[in-house]
This record gives sequence, structure tokens and C-alpha cells, in this order.
Amino acid sequence: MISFLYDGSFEGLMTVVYHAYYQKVHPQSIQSQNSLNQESLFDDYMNVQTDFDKSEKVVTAIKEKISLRVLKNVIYAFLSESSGIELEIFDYIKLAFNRGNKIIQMLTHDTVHRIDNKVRAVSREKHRMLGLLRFKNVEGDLYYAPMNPKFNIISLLAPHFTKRLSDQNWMIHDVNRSSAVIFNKKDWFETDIQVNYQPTLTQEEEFYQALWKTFFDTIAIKERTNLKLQMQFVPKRYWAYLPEMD
Amino acid sequence: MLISDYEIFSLFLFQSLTEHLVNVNCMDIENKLIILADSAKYDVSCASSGSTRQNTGGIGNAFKSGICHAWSADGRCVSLLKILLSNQCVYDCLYCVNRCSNDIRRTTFSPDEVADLTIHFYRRNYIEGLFLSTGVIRDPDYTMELMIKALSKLRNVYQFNGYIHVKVIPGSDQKLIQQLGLLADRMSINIELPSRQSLRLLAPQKNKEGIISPMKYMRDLKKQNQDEKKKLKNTPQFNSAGMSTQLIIGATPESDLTILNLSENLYNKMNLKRVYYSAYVPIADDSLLPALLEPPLLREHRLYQADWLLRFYGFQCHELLDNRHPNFDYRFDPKTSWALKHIDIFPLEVNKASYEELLKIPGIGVRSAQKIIQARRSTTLREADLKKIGVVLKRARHFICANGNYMGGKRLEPLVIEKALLPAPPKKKRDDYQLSLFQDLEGNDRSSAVSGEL
Repeated sequence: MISFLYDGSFEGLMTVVYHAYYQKVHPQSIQSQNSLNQESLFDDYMNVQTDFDKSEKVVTAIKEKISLRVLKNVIYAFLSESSGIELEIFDYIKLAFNRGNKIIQMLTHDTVHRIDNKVRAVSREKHRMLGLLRFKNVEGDLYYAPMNPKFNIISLLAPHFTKRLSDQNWMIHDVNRSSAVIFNKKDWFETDIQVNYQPTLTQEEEFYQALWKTFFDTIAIKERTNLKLQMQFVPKRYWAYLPEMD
Repeated sequence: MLISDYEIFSLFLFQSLTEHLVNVNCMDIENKLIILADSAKYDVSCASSGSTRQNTGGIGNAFKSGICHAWSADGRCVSLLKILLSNQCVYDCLYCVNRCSNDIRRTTFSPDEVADLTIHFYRRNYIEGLFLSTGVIRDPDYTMELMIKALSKLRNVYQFNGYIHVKVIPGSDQKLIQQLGLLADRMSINIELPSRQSLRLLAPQKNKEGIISPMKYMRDLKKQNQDEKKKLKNTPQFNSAGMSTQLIIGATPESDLTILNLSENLYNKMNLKRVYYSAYVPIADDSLLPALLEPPLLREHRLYQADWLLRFYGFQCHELLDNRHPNFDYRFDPKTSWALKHIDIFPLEVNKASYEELLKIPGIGVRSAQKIIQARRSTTLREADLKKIGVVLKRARHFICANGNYMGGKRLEPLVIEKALLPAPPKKKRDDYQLSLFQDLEGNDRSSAVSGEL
């Protein structure tokens, strides 16, 4: 039994999968270097250098020998960033190579069930943010959308807005993860960004935000007020970046 | 020269009229928005689904399953910019807040204002698109032309490919309906009152034929359009996301049976995509209308559930209601009520039941039924497995066996099950600010009260 250390990236994890699979070892744990806690420093670790070729081989194998669907599940589960997810993903991939695409239907198998739950949670938040993301028009011909999602979904949101808001410059900013996606009317790319980035709103922006709030308040039917139901759909953690939820 | 009283009067009238007009035109966009969103809010349709419109070099696209962008204080989803083009109306329908005899502020958006507002909201991801309805200004054709102007500015000038839902005005020219349908994704005509008699009583200027005939026309036009599209791929789509309508619940004495029967006909014969039910909110004081203390929300909720049963669960109206039981037992969801009346077909073995049978089990929805079918290919399902799959065991357990074991209580009897399903009487009253309806509902029921899913 070996414990693996990797750099926290998806490619890093796939490199670990490559090593463990070809060395025929079952990892005792797989941990990211920055999440490593003090006590476990005394254990034996194998530090795996991220290798893009090896990672690519694993990804291609999943795609071609199993299915795109399983690869999607692996990626979504990884983006959940939940603790211990690496080992669960390893088990899932191993099972998938064993049983093929049938794994998709094995809903009651513990390994599959755990991954499915993560995939569902990430998909749900992704879908929710497709609606709840708010762009603000800021100085410098840019629409800026800060957010604070539970999962690392920024790369899942980008393709949607690339198709939809294709004639404006925009930026999505994951404030807590200090990452951003920038779109320049042609391509989008991911980048790091300083935490206290605070662009200036245009005058037009303030005007339309006020109109939006007016609309939002007016559209509710007083006789049907149900704040609990509202809260169920828009939990408090998302309110900070919603102009209508002041 | 003497001026007669009449002339003074008409001079005065003219003056106040022009003042009024100036007033209307100068009203700023915010005040217009307040008036025209407020008047639109009773239309409950919110869907932005069913269209696959792509972004062709402009702005926006449709998202097949729809996207909700916000939830207002009543817990309803906001997906489209829902506004009226105008709340001026020549009709005097008693149930409607915009009836011409009602003393309220009147205003009209210009087509440009509608288009601009939509685009600016869309760029900020506030909305999925536009839902444009209107009162009837002057006459149906004139009003339809204004709507077409607004939509055509969006589609042709701004190259907007987002979702557009538009109201069709009964009595307007068929050519205009066709033009509008090429610009919109969804079109709707609200029936509002579920029977001929009620319509005659509360909306004397409208009649059933006037509403049904444009629906028929649109249905045939869509069919024709689909056929043409098969031959010529780039035929522009007419009314791509289909038609919908709305029925007001509780303003008139129709039974659930009458209402659901009407819905079934609309789905089967008119190819409607959705029928919306809107609990009547007392907005007008009139002896012809009931004096309700609060809107009949639970009844509305049960009708939505039954509507889902018609569309996705293979139920027919006559199975759920008949002349002896023309209304639902509001204590249970319609599927549970049905199951309690057909207890002899239960319990069903989840490892053997067909998909159609699974759908008839209370607590098992479309998604769990599909999952059961998938999962049982590789294993025999037991109670714990069903929980993992997401079956609502609280209801389902009374009606199923898993691997031969009946999961309910001691006896499979309607009265015993009824008692087990009803919530225990509340110990203490709290949550005074909330409507009482949702207190009795389980978490699952609560979200389906809005989504309509079972």
C-alpha cells in the first residue's frame, strides 16, 4: 500500500492513476500537496510529478475504451473538490475498466453511488449558476461577473456564456478560488486573478441594476408571499452577488 | 363671441386629454416598468424551455430545458422579462386587473423600449428572454402590429436569439399571427375561464370560439411548418416551442373534472405544450366574483400534479376523476388518491414491474422509475437500494415489495395507509408569516409545488 501525493491538478491526478494502474498497486490515499496535513507527514508518500503525456493517455483510454459519459463523471466528481474524492475517483476508474460502460447503470454499487452523488451535486450547482450569475457592465468595455460557488465549476460555465454572450467582452471571477475566465469575443481562457479586484461600475450599469430590482420586486404576488420557498431555491450563500437580493 | 357650455366643456376635455397623453409619453421607463410588470404578474407561465434556437452571430440562444434566473418573494421562478406592452384595454373582463372600467394608471411601452430593456437585461444574465403580453389597444390588429414591431426589432436589428414567449390576441388577422409565430419561440392564448358559461358571465366580449379558432389555426400552421422543414432544412421555424394557455382556478364554479378534462383535450387535440393553472387572487370587487380570503393554492398545486400525470405518467383524466368524484381529495396528491382507490393492483414488486407500472406507484417519479429499470439489470433491488436511487419511500413503501418483502405496515388497506400518510396533527403553531399551505407538505412536495414534478 502506497500513499500518493500530487499537485492538486486534474492532470496530476490522472498521472497518479497511470502510475498506480501500471504498478498494480492500490493507493492507500491520494492527497494534494497543499491539502496535506501535519500528522500524515510521518507516513510514506510517493510524490508523483504531473506528466501531461501520461495524463492524456489515461483520459484517452477512458474516453475510447469506456465512454465519454464516464469521463464526464470523473471530471465533475473531481471539480467537487470534496475531501477524499481522489481515491473515490481511482476506485471508480478501476471499476469502469473492469466492467466497461455498464458501470453507468450500477446505481446501487457503493463506488458508483458515491461518484454519482458528487456528479449530481456539481451538475446542479452548475445549472443553478447558469441562471444566477450576474454580469455588471464596468469601465473598460467589460461585463464582470463575480461569484462564490461551492464547487469549482468555472470551466463548466465558460462554454455556455461563450455561445450565449458572444458579442461582448466578459469575465467570470471565482472570488474564493482567485480564478477567472476571460472572454474576448473570440476565445475564453482561464487565469489567476488578484483577490481584491474591484472594477468601477458604469453609470449605465447602475441604471439597469435599479430597473432590474424594480422589476423583481414588482413581479412577486403579495398574496402568495412564501420566503421559505424562495430561500429553498436561492440559498443565502448566493445572495452576495445578486443585485435583486439586497 | 359667446362660447357655449358645450364648447367650454369640450375644450377642457381636450386640454386634459392632451395633458394626459403628454403624461403617458413622458413617463419614465421605471414607472412604466412598475405598471406594466405589475399588470403582467398574474400570468403564471414561466417556462423558457422547448426551444433549440442557436446563436447565429448575434446575441443569445435558447437552452432546451430552460433556465431559471431568479426567484421572487412568492417563490416563483423568474425566467423571462414578463411585461405587458400596454395595460390599456378595450375589453372589460371582470376577473382582469386591466379591464377598462378599472381605475388604474395606464401606460404603453414603445416597441423600442421593450427591445432595449430585453437586451440590457439579457446581457447581464438577468433573464432567459422576453415574455410579452398586452391589453388590447384600439383593436386586436393594431396591437398585434406593435408586438410584431418589438419582436422584429429584437430579432432583426439586435440579432437576438434568446427565448421569446408572446401572447396572441384573439380576433387578430391570421397573417399577423403567422408573422408573430416566425419571431417567437412560444405562443399562447389564455382561455382563463374554463367553461362557456363562465366566459359569458365574466368576459362578455369574448367567446370560446374566438379563443379556440386561432389555436386551431396555429396548430395547423405549425404542422405545416414541420412538414416543410422536413423537405427544406432551412425553412424558418414557426412557433418552435409550441403553444400554452392559462386557466384561472377558483374564480368560477367549475369542478376539477371540468378543468382537467379541458386540459386533456387541449393536449390531445390542440397539441398544446403546457396548460398553466393560476389560483384566483381577488383583485376585483364584484358581486359576480367569489370573495376569497386567500388564493386556492393547494387546489392549484393538486391540479398541476394531475397535469403532470396526464403528460408524463400515462394517466387519463377519467381514471383520476369522474362524475361521482369530480374534485380531488386535497389531502393527498392525485396519484396517491388513485392508488388508494386501486389498492388491489398493489403491492408491485419493484424488481419485476414494467416501467408503466412503476410510474403508477406513489413516490416513484419518472426519474426514479428509469433508475430502477437501469439498476435492476445488474442487481436485485432491496430497500436500501431504493433509498440510494431516490425513491420517496415514505409514500412508496405502502405500495411496493422489494425482493419479495412488502415494505409497508402490517396491512395493505386504504384506511391504514391513509392514516400513515397524513401528517400528525401539529403540536404548536409557528411560522406565522408563511402561508399555511406549505406547512403540511413534505420537503419534496414543497419544491414540486412550484416545479410541478411528482
